[in-house]
This record gives sequence, C-alpha cells and structure tokens, in this order.
Amino acid sequence: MHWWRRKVREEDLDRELRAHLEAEAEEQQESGLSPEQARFTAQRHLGNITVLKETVREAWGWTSLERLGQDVRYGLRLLRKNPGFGIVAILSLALGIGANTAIFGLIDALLLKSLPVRDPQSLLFLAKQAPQGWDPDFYYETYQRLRARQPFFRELAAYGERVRMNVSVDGMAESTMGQLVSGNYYAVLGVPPVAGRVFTPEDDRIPGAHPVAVISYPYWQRRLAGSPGAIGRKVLIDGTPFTIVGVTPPGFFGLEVGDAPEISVPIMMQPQVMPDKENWLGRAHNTVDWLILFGRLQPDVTIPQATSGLQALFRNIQSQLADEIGLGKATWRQEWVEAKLVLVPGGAGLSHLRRPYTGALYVLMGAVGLVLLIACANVASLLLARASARQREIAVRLAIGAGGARVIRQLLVESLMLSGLGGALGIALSYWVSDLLVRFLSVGGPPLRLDLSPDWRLLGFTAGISVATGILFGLAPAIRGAGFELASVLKQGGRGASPPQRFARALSVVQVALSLVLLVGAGLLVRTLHHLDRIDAGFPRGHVYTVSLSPRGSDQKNGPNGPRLNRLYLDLLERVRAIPGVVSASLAGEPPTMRGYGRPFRIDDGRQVVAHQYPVYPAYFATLGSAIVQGRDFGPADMAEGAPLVAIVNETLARRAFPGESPLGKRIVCTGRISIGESGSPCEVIGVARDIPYATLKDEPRNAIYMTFLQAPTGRGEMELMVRAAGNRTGVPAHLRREIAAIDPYLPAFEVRTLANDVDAALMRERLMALISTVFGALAALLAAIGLYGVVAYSVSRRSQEIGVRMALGALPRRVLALVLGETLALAGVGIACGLPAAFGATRLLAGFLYGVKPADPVVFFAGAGLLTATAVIAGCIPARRAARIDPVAALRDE
Amino acid sequence: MSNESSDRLQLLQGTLDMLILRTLLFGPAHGHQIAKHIQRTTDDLLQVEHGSLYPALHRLERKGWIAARWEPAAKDRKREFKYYRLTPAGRKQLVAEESKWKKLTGAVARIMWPAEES
Repeated sequence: MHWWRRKVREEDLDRELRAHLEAEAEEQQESGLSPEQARFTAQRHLGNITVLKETVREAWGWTSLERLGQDVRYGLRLLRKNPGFGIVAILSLALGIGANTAIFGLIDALLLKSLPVRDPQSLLFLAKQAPQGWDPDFYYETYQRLRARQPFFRELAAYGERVRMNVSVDGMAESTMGQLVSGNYYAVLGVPPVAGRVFTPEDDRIPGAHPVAVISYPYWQRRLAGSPGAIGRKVLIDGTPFTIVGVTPPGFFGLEVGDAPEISVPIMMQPQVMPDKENWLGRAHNTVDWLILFGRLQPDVTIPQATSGLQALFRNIQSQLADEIGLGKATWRQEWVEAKLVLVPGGAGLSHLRRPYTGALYVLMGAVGLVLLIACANVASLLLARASARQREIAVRLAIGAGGARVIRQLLVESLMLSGLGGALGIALSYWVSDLLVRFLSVGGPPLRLDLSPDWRLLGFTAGISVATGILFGLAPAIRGAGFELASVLKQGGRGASPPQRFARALSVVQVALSLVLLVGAGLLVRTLHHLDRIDAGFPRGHVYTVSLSPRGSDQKNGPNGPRLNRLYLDLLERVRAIPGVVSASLAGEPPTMRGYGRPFRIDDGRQVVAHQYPVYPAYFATLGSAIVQGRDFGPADMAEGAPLVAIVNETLARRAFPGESPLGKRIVCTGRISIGESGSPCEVIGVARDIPYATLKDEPRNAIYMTFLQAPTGRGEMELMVRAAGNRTGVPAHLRREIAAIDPYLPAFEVRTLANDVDAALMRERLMALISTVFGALAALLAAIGLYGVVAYSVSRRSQEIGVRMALGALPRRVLALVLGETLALAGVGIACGLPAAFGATRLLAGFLYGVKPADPVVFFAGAGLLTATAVIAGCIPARRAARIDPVAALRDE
Repeated sequence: MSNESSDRLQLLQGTLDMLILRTLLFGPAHGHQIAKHIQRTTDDLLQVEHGSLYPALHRLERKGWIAARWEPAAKDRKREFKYYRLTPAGRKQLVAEESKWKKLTGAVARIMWPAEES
C-alpha cells in the first residue's frame, strides 16, 4: 500500500463518518433535541471514533505493512540521530557485500552464465581427453570428414582460433580480433542476424572463394555507426576485399567467455585472413589442430551412445588421414589416432581463463566471505553496544505494552535496513571493483570482455547475503534486547543490569581469529609472488624490449619467401643492433614467457627424452640475460643455407640426459610432431645454456632444446624481436619503431613491450591474488581493531567507577593503563589462539597457489600473529589512556 | 435514553454481515440508512452499534461483496453520501449465508421445541 493511497482512504473515512454524524444529528433534532444535544447524542451513538477508525483500518488489512512503515521510519530517525554509528555500520557492510558481489560477479560471468544462444543447455563440445582436462582442437580434415559421416549430432559446427586481423574500412586500418567459423555456425547456435544475414553452408564450400564477413554488434556501432548501409560494404582484411553480409545480436560474443571477436569469416578463408600462416585447409605434413567442434545431439541419441559412436568414427578417420598424410610409423601417430573423445556440456561456453582462474576465484570468494563475516561481527557488536544503551527505551516500550515480538521485529527491521543500505551501496561498489579487476586481468593481453551485467543470479546473491547478514548480526542483539528483566532495568535508572558484554567479547575474539586466517593467507600469497619476482634477481627486465612481428607470408615453407625473409630478419637485427644504447638483439619464435609444447626426442644412444623446443636466432641467451655455460652460441655460419644442423640444450636437459658427461658433440633426433627440423634428422649439440626461468615461473625448470630457424623446413609465423638496452638509454622504443617501419612498411601494427610487462602478464593471477588478499587482510585487521576498540572502550566506560575507586585507593595511572591494555591483549590473544589452527587448516586449500613457501610457513604465521597483536595494542591504547585519565573524584561523585 | 440495552438484543457474531447484504438487496444505501433500516425493520429490537457497522462495511468492501461510491443524496442533492451497493459476488454470498442461517436456526429450533416438530 502506498502512503498516498492510505491518505486518500483516511480522508474518505473521515468524510463518511462526518456524513453519518450529520444525518444522525438531523434525525435526533427532528425528534425534538436541541442542535447541541443532537450532535452529542449522534457522537455517543457512534462511540469512540479513534477506536472505530483503528478497527476500520484493521479491516483494510494493511496494518502490518503500516507497522513496518512505522518501524522503518523509526529506524531512519534513529540513524539520523546517530549518524556515526550508521556510517560505520553501513560502510563496513557495503565493503563486505560489495567485495562478495564483485567476486561472485566474476564467477558468474566466467563460470555460470549461459551463452546467449538458443537452448544453451543442449550445446555440446567435442573434445579429446588430455592429461589435464581436455583438448578441444581438431584438424581441419578431421572436421570435414567427421561432419560428413557422423549421424549423432543434428549438425556438427566449428570455429577456429581467434585471429588478429588487419581490417581497413574506408582506408582506415585497424587491428581487430576476428574468428573463423563454419557455414552452419550460426544456424547450430540459433543466433539470428539483427541486420543482413548470417552465414549458411553455401558460404563455406570452396577454399578462398567466400569473401564474406559477419560483424559483431559493437563493431557495427563503433566502426560503421550502426548504419544499415554497412550491409554490402567492402572492407579489406589483410589485403583481401570482403563484403559485410550481416550483424549478430548485441549480447552475442561467440563461444569463448572473455573474448569477443568482432569480425567472423568462413573457415574457407583461413589462408586469406592468416597470410602469415600456412594454408591449414590443405593436407600439409604439419598437421595443425585448430578447430573447435560443437553441436546438438539428435533427439533420440544419448551422450554415451554418441561418444562411443564418434570414438569409432574418429579412430577410423584419423588412421586413414595418417596414411594419406604419410605419417608412416611416426611415434606420435598413435597419439593422433588413439585420442579418447569426450562430449563436454557447452551451455556456459569455453574459456581459456577458466583453468587458471577457477580455483583462484573460489579462494577469493572464501576470503571475501570471511571479510563479510568480520563486518557482520562488527555491526553486531555495535548494535549490542547500542542495544544496551537503549535498554531503558526498550524497557519503557515493553512496560507500556509492546509485545516482545514487536520489539524484536523493530530491532530486526533496523538491522535489515542497515544491511539493505549496505547492500545497495555494495552493489555500486562492486561495479567499480569488478571493472577494476577486469582491467587488471587485461594487462599485457587482449582486452578481456566479460559480460558483467547483473543477472538474476547475481542480484539474488546480493539480496540473499544482505538479508542473511542483516538477520545474522541483528538477531542476537534483538533477542537480547527483548529479554530484559523489566523491573531491574527501570529501577536502575538507565544503567544496564546485565550488559551483553560476554557476547560482544566473543564476537571480538571471532573477528581476530578470522582476520588471522585472512592475514596468513595473504602473507603466503605475497611471499609466493615475492619468490616468483626474485627468480632472476639482478636482471633488469625493464630494459629488455619485446616486439611481436608477423611479416606477410612469413610461414610459407620452402617458397620464394624463405630467402627474402631471412634477409629481412638479418637486416632488421643489424639495424636494431646499431641503435645507440642497444646491447644485444635477437629473434625467437615465441615470447620467453610462453610455455611452448613438449616434443619427444631421441638421443643417439637410443634413449627418449621429452623437451621443449624453441626456435631462436643468435644472441638469444645474451639478450635475455642468460649465458652459454659450455660450448658456443649460434653464429652466422649456422644461419647459412645448408649448414650442418646444430642445437643448444639447457642445463636441466644436459644434467638429465647426459649425467656426468659433456653433451657437446652428442646427437639428438626429434621424433615427434615438429615445427622445426626434418623429423629424423639428427642435430649436433654445440652448447649448453643456463636455464631461462620465464616460461616455467611457477614450475620446476624443464628440458629445453634451442635450434635455429634457418634449418627449418617451415616458415616462422609470428616472430618475437627481443632487444636489450643499456640501463641509462631512453628513446630506444621509438627508435625501434622507426627501424622496423623502415625495413618493411607492410609489417602489421605492433607494440613495443618490455620483458617486465610480459612477466607481469604471466604472473597476473599470482599478482591479483596477492593484491586482493592483502587488501582484504588489511581490511579485516582494521575491522577487528574497530571491534576490539569498541568492546574495550565500552567496558572502560562501564567500569569508570571501579577504576575511580582503584585510583582513589592509590592505583597509579600506569597500573590502570596496564589493566585495560591487558584486557585488550587477552581478547586478541584468545582470538589468535583460536585463529592459528583455523589458519593452519584453511591455508592447506591454498597449497596449489603457493611457490617457494609451505602452507604452514612459520614466518608468515608469526608475522600474522604479531601484526594482529600490534593492532590490538593500538586499538587498546585509546581506551586505556582514557581510563588512566579518569578523575577518581568525578567518577565517584557520579554514583 | 436510559432504557437502551435492557429490551434490545445483541447481534450474534457474523450476523451483521448478512443483515447488511440483505439490506442492500433493496438497492444502494449509505451507512446511516443501513443502520436505520435494520433498526426500523425490527421495530428497534435490533440495535446496530454504529461503531461496529463501519468496520463491517469496509470488511465487506475489501472482500468484494459490496462496492462503494460517493453520490449526492436523493433528498438533498447538495449533500453527498458514500453509497454501498451489492456486487454479484455479494449476491452469491447472501444466498450462502441465508441457507447457513436457516440451517442454524432450524437446528436450534429442533432442540429448543422438540414437541412442535412432530
């Protein structure tokens, strides 16, 4: 019921009763009474108007709502009267609820939200089982044959990896994220166009013959002003003209949560939009798995049926392909043919972020949950302190006939108002926090696109925790508030009879214990980050610049491009080395922070090893601050056409594969699927390099084999230029940009990063967890300190007479100070004693996120306890000094 | 009016609702008219407490059995009264109440005057 409607009804009732009185008075007058008497009689017949109105209002049936309104108004009045209390309570709740909402929002967006497609729950991804989880990538030809022959899916659709495309609209070039999709992609997903049309199977038949593109809604708005004329427009993608045929709906971002490709082209256009890569549509001998397959099952097919049927079909197709490609008896043929298939529910899409971040998000959720509990405890003890101050008010209300339930309800309404206001503020806060987190996660990579718009799940979550916290912190004080011994409270003239001190103390102890858990967790994560940061202590990462280059045609093997590219790269290196301030420069196939893939190798005595293979140019080790510890680096002679095949191994591989002997001069043969070096041609080991830690920051050092590019049958694809500059030189990045542009104006847009950026990006998760847990640990300690302060300050104010007596009897202020501080420390001590085993148990859950530090690291535990003790001393100092300054005379006179 | 309560009957619980509905069967009426009508029809035997009439009217209105509207009085067009009228649901309710009442009075009568029954 709205208050204005209530007002209208009240007026209506008044008018009705007035009319009745007039009519009755008239009648009485007609029977001979004087006007005065008539009015009086009429009134008497109607009875007590106030009671009558109250009964009518009850008949309206909204009095409980009205009473709620009264409670709310009364609560607001109390809040206005005591704004300090309100602000502290609402702010601490807002922090707790906001943090929970933000982290839950990320979990929701990354893990729970359904894709914006038709019937997302029936979507299934086809994948291969892998040692860790599953691998969704398939070979192009495998897809084509599976799609044609499988009867289990209604249709099997596919999309390829995201591609950085150089798109120019009206001559304005821009690097844009795109993807390759099968002709039935949109039909299988059930995504209709908002303008133009989406692809059909007709758009994906003949390699290179379908220059059409579907663009995303944001791209349409951003680059083409949302104009309907965009349909049919020609754009240049990596030099090939494409026609825009349609626009997808606003919420649709593809199937990869966290990515949002802006332009989609048919799979058949792969060579055109990836000019720096090989043609992946042909049956090359380097078989790239790059397509992700999905579909919906036929109505009468179950998942186990489909899985076993697809498994048989897949084995059949793969062994046919292996024969056609001429794999012979290659060692990885078996791996390729025997892969075990699984069907993965696809309703929430895929995400490369899930594997690294799922666990981290749950740990953070636990941490913010603890923060919220601490905030609750804080508000509860604030309410308790206030409830005892309000004892007299409540006692009066009970005495004049308010029921206990009514008082409890009033107090609960007040706490729910606090949590409601805290929750509303928390939602606002969470927007800001999750935006910050997403921006943080986007550092050093393509921008992260997460749909953080609140859905029913998020809003329900926030509303749920707000109500739950309101009841949690409000219930105890409310029940205590209503359970007074009426007489004793009234008799005592406002000084509480049995203050809920013990309960407040218990809350304070819980706060300290929970803060210790958070602080210890934060300490462990900070130490982990510290260890990771120190991995290459003394090496100035900020002075190593890295640039990704991908010249046109750079991976077309054996073509005319090989010699041209070789000249181009050597020329580039020469020019870069001539830049003033450059100490050394080199090129590699991937950034040093990439993990790479393990490949099987055979040593010439027949033993097998698995090692990570890195194609590099000379001076790679010097540029990255590593060193050749045995033998020599690659030199110009190794780069020549037809030079003998040579390799450099890292110390770990040298130690494991050649224990007790020198690896120099030994021969190694790659037996696996390769990108470099003919399968089966042996390389001579010419050097041993110190381990380079960047790719394995969080793991043990791994076996690594370095080879040169020029001995490779395939091209290079994207290259990483690495440049080490002297510490005192600025302006190297600008110089670098000029030199690269001078060498090849067709090199696509690139950015100059530093190795420090790359390492930061690689340690993003660790940095994020350390940062967030530290912030929340500090917040928790602060809240616990406020809680302690409140409890002790209250106890001092209650004991001022006792303290006055002590001082009158000769206790020194120092002694009083010690007394109060001792009380604070005792509380904190009990809290820490309870928190230590809790932290010991909780940090085990963190084990997977730690590096170089044990979950039960004594230093961290000790530091956490020490920090909390110091916090307690500070919190206790203020009331202790106030107690020491108590004037005994004044305190006693107060009696 | 000192002789008020002695020879007048108190209404049975729940009877007032039925009497109001029955009164409105004659056509729309305002609160004062309803009270007077009940009183006069029973030769002043049933005294309707004006104080209990209005809560009953508002309760019936909320249940949807009667509807109310402000209208000028029939005699004096300048004065407005809140007139209540029976809704179709109210008509149905009246029938139900009436049969319930008949059953009740019949049952009570059979116990009170068993001889007259045979």
